[in-house]
Amino acid sequence: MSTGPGNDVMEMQLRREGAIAVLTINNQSRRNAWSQPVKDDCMRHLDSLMVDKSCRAIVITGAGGYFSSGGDVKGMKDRHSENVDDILSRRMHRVQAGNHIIKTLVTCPKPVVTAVEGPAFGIGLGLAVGSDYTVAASNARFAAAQIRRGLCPDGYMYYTVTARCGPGRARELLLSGREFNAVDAERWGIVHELAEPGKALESALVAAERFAAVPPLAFALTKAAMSNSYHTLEACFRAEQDYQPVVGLSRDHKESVSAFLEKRKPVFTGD
Amino acid sequence: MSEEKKEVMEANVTWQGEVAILTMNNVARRNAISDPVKYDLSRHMTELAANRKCRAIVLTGAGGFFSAGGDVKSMKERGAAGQGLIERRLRMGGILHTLVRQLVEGPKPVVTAVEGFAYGAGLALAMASDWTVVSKGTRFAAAQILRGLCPDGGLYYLLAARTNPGRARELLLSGRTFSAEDAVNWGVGHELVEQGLALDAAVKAAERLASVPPLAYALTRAAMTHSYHTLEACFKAEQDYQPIVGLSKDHKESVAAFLEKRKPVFTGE
Amino acid sequence: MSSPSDEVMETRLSWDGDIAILTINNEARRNALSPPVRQDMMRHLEALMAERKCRGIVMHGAGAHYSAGGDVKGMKDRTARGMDFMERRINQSPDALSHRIVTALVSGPKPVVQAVEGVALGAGLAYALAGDYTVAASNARFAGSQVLRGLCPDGGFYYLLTARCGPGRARELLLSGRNFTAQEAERYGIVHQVVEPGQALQAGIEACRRFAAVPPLAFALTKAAMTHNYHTLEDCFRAEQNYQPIVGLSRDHKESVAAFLEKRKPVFNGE
Repeated sequence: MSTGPGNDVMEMQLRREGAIAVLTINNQSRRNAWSQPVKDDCMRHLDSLMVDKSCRAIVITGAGGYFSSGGDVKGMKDRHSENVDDILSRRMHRVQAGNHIIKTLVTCPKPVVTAVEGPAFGIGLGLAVGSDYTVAASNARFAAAQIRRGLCPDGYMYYTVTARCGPGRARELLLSGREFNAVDAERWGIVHELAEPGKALESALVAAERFAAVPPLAFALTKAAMSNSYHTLEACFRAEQDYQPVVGLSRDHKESVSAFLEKRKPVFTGD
Repeated sequence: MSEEKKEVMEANVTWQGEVAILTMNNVARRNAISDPVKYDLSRHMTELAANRKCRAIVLTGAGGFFSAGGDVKSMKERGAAGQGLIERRLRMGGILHTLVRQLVEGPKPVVTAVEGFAYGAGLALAMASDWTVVSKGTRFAAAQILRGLCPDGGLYYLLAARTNPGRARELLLSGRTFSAEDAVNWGVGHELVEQGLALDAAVKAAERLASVPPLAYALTRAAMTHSYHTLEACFKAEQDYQPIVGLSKDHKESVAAFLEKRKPVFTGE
Repeated sequence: MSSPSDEVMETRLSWDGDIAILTINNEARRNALSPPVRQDMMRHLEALMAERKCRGIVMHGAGAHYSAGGDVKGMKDRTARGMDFMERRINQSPDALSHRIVTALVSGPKPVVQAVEGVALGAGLAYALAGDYTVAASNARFAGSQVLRGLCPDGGFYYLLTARCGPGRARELLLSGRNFTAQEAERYGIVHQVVEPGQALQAGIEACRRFAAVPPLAFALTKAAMTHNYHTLEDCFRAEQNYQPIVGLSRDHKESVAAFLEKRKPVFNGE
């Protein structure tokens, strides 16, 4: 799999803080554009983290005071010489590669927290809201900018932005492509928490610790239900009937009950 | 259809540049959503959708108010005429639903300018848009339930989509009046302006939306009506629409303008 | 149906005029939703839904709290006697009883107002959202805490919480299990009204009277549609086409039109 073009610096870096994995988009000369090398690095990191039991939460942030300026406009230019066949094959590839990352973040069993400083535009906004919790610095700026490029939104933003702020507001933001600030974003529910400039990552790590302390199996199944089963009362009941008996038999549930009755702190293992 | 057209048009179109202003004009009945109003509006919407020179539509009411909603006098007449379940069922699936579909899922930006009051089906029309401007002092109510009726005009969906199902439930079940400030806080309206200024602000908003590439706008609007409910529906809409707009002249123009640091010019191709 | 014995009643029914008041009455265990509480509640609800003289239902907890949620001691017992997967999944399980209760509260024909003092935790919070309007005392405390017991949320929670505050916030609250205040709950849309401590029941009865003044048949059909038919525009149109002709022929509608034209106050009787 390719990393950066012509250099061996990773465009998305992985480091660990205990049980928490921190992924940093590091493509600063292009304001952390969502380029192919960033996507390749990100997918590779996520694939390894998903099967790593010691990883209990994932935080995604951007280097250099930017979250991400979104799709790579230079890459778009290169694709203009493509014919219809290229476009159709690209469409298959894109579904497998780029958007697969956000699908993974939204539906995966691990907690995902995003920490936004500066701009989060286009697919950068999609990444920021494709998580369980979003912290934004008060100077963060957002825009569903794809439509201004003559494109439709990608990165599952019809769903993820709507899930945060409701279809009425989402319609307006995705249709206008306009910029909005962190304070509005917090008021509309697009981000969960505001932080001082430069402090978004710090707050995101605190939030990630909180999610990491939740029993992992119950977390994974609750997250699966929150991705698919809240739309109707019947779907919700069905998810409860499917999942509750499974976690009711888990070691972590028994541990939680014992700890509660013995008035001590529980220790969860994901079993 | 059921009624002959009156001498006065119940809804008329005026223009401000490329923005069409559609005005409900039945002031004596407080712009009640009577059959002639619905048919006029729907006919205009059909024409405007096909008119290339129209880049956005503003819907408003004449006489300082938006609409008092369903026409109580014609309710009385329907009762007196002994209209049965089947006729009523046919009617309910008819022109009102067609009109709301045209407003919500049609290809062009729609902005509503609301002054005075918007009750019942009038509240539904006020929300059947991409941006709703509300002037101070405007009053709202999903009042159908107090007439012993259920909400109509797409209200279950529109009010739940603008606010949330919990708030919509409360407002639809109580039929209570709420203020312009509440409306904007809850998301029923997007912008609060001084009394009398709603139309001006709406035209400005319509111009802003009209500056977006038209093809991408139309497809994004279709997706925002039908494809945000589940992650799978969203995946499918992206896979269907993105390759189409990726080949459009407007997309290429936008990329070129970005790289050349100039303002793009969009044509809808 | 009248109570077989006052001693063992764990959900009590009383009346304020034509408004029924259901009291979760298990004060020693902070109104934990033990099987007897749920059985009593279901029995009362079945009777009330069919009772013409009942024009609304207010639910609250005895003493200082609404409900601390699932019964942790009961969980211990279920584990101790080796309740297996199949038994946990069947329709007679405590979870399935909850589904019937929530269905009655959310989609039944009568107005339902929830009045919360003190804590509403886990399934207790789900019940507090199962209705048309929720009043909370300003010192009330909430948590969707099942996940911290190693369980998934139950009581229709994915749907009920999402319907109030949207999937973005619901995801965060159900996945972290964290506590939140009455003020937060109001800001997120989870409760409709915050009142002084001790005033929730009275405010709940007043809110219920407002709903009770609405024509009952139109209320019942609108409530059914608000449970099942707001998700898509087409669903919504279908519900309108199915319900509007029925209420259009009702006596209450004719009365409302006549009263409007005669400028007098209408009198509704549900016909």
